[in-house]
Amino acid sequence: MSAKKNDNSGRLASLGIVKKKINHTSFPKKIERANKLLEKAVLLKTKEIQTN
Amino acid sequence: MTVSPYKIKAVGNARYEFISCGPKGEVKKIVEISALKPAGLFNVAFGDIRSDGTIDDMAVTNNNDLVKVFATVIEIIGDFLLSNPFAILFFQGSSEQRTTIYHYILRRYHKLFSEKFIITAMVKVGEIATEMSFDPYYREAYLAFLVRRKL
Repeated sequence: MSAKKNDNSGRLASLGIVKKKINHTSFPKKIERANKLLEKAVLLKTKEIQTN
Repeated sequence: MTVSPYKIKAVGNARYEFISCGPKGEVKKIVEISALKPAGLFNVAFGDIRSDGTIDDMAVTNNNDLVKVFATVIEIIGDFLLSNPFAILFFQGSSEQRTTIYHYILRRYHKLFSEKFIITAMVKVGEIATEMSFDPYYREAYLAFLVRRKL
């Protein structure tokens, strides 16, 4: 997410609550792999996707 | 997807279990949704629960119910996105072959999935993983998929 950031910032407070509740995982290797892939990924902006 | 999903048991707010039934008997499956580092993204992980309670995410069950299992996973994704409408769900096969199977299923049911969800995919552009619209006719391998709820 280095080049573009999600535009969900106004909604992250509610997601933060979810995140706290589900930060445990039975799939640590998968999470590590996903985080590695996403570390420098370029993601589309949700608002743009929703309006297209 | 004309096949009905298996009955889902929610365990907590991000862990779901169901039982696959087929020629190999009953196999307990788990779908777990976990927060990823980029805010707002959540990983969808999927595997078999072994008899000792541990999880095998490389299992090849061959229970002749792949479509029914995926219908169940889609149901779970829908349930999670209903409670968390701004979440972005990320999923990737535990091997390239599995990611290809997911690609095949998304291609086949794209029209149906698109009614409720926005599907995108990750591709490698140079050395950078880049998100793009999911193209059912794309012939290269995708790295992973992302699902948003249509708002």
